[in-house]
Amino acid sequence: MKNSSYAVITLIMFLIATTSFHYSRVSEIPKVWDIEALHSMQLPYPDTSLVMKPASEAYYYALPERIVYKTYPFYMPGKEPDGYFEWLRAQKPEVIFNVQEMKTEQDWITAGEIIYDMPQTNSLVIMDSAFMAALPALEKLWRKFIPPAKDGTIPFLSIVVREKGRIELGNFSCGMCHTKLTPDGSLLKGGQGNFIFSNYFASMIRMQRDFRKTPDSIINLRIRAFNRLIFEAPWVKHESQERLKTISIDDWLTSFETRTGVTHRQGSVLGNPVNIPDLFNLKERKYFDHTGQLQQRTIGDLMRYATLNQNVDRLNDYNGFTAFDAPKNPAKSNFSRFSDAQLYALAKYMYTLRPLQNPTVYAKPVLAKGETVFKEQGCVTCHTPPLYSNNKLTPVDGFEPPKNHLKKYTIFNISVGTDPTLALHTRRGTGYYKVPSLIGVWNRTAFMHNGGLATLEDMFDAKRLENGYIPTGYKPTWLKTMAVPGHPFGLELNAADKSALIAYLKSL
Amino acid sequence: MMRFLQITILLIVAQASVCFSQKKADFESGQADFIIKNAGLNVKGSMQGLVGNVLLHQQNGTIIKIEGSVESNTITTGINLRDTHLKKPDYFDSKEYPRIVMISTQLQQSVGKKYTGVFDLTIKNVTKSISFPFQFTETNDHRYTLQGEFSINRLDFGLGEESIILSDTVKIIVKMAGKIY
Repeated sequence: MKNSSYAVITLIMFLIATTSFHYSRVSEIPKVWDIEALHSMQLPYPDTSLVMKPASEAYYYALPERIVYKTYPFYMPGKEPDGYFEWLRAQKPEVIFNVQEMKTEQDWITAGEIIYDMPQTNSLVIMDSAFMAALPALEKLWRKFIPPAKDGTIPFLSIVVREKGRIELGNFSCGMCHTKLTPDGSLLKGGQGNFIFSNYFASMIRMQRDFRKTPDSIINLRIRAFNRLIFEAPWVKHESQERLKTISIDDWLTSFETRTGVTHRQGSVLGNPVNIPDLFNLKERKYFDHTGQLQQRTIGDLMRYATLNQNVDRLNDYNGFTAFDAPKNPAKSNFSRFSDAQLYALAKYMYTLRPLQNPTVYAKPVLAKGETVFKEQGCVTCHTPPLYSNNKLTPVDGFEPPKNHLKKYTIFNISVGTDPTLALHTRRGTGYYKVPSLIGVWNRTAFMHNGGLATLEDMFDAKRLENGYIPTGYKPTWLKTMAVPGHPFGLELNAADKSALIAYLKSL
Repeated sequence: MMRFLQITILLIVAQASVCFSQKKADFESGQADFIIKNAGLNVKGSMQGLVGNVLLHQQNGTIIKIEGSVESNTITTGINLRDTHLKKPDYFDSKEYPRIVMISTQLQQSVGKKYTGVFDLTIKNVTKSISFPFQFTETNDHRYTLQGEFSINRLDFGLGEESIILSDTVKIIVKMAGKIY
């Protein structure tokens, strides 16, 4: 009797302990859509007359929460097992994210990885008979730029079953751009991704035009709507905005397509895309985005960044301009948002992301010499260990930091002369670029903000400063040659020092 | 009236004797080199065009006063962008405070041509008193050189901010040369 009493008491205490732990976890989740926090985390625009208003708190929280369904692999068309789609259609929907099941820190992290790979509910493509018929045509386009895994899957895409008998192609997950399929077949989450989203999106338009024979008038309307969604910034006086008004479908498609590690994302410029940043050591970073548009002060800021960039920034109002027509009744719209708990899990997971070590081992004397050059050349001042970034913002050419910025933000007040387009002429503009971390730089295939260079070696090639240079990375289709200006460090080094420096950088 | 004239004449004579007992020798060349540790390595730099003069005693040749200044925008460290940054408000703010000035307030001859001097050093409108030994050398052809070194805490003068890699202490070597006429 006595023993059984102890057992009951112990069980009750255990239940109380686990319940209170769970409660404490849930209660510590920051409120994501906190208007004051949203405003204060954001750097001002270079054009100070521009005022951005996010959606109201009432509107945001009235949007339906995303339901996290189990997903299934998507295969390069033709590589799927026999009867795969029929089998999928027989599956019941399965919800796999439940806050009540989160007991430990690891539970949150594990759930966060699911959110990281979760396709956007707003952008699912119904795999109906018309879509299935187009798969062979898509495969012909995709094989040119999508690296399939060894088992034939495309790890950046997935299939969702939200309703028995209906399967949908899932895309636009965080991992779609921020996951790298490595040569050994493993996935490096948080790495500079090698799924070329821009080409994927263009392939969908090409499929509609060339396979489904959708009239150009309709395609044109879709492109205009898409331009509004991701590129338009009517307050910006720049040739890139003018080009959007007159560009043909063919020009648009070829201009939109990029290369590995480079993407046209919302808030960038057609013809001036962004290199995909890695997400390593995220907790230590003070600013998000190439332009440092949003500050990270707490985990809540990362959650805010994530929800904004998973479509909610479409609701922003820029002096009366919006990127799309927001549903009048958010509660009854198809436009959804992550729950605060989902974003909390996602942020917890993202904080765990770490780079791979370079499998190439360099000789110690070479690394020692490289480290010395790194210090002598002053690289260490901006790319300061241990993050190999001083976590500061550098102004771009054409922007003079106002005096109050120097006190309010961490600014390294010298322009390194890189292309200022993203920082000055876009929705993401701040007048600055943040100093990127060099950790894991060996594993990147796009350098400079617009991905104009493909290798680290190219960064140290003085020829890139010349107008006659043919960029090894991305260049707009309407240019035959293009200088890749700025960051002129180490260009004059002798071959031995340059080689040692590159080896050192690749060891980080 | 007579007494007033006598006093005036005496003052003029005294003034003249003071003037005749000193000689001023302008620097014909001068530079300020500096060394600062960054990430454990010495970074060397220089400011060129140091101008000023040495005031010497006419009879015994000892130094009475030294004044010198240099334009901060002449700074070079071997990396152009770094030099540009050093001229900005974070460091020297060369636009607002173009000159760095050093004026002796006390000089003491120690051994031979060696002196110890106390100087007012003004950078970015901040003046600090510094003391350091220097050597004054004259040659037979009436040429002279003056060389000394000292250290400052760059933060005392608002030169940059606290840093985990950049040392606060900067070693400065001043070298001047000229001719005594």
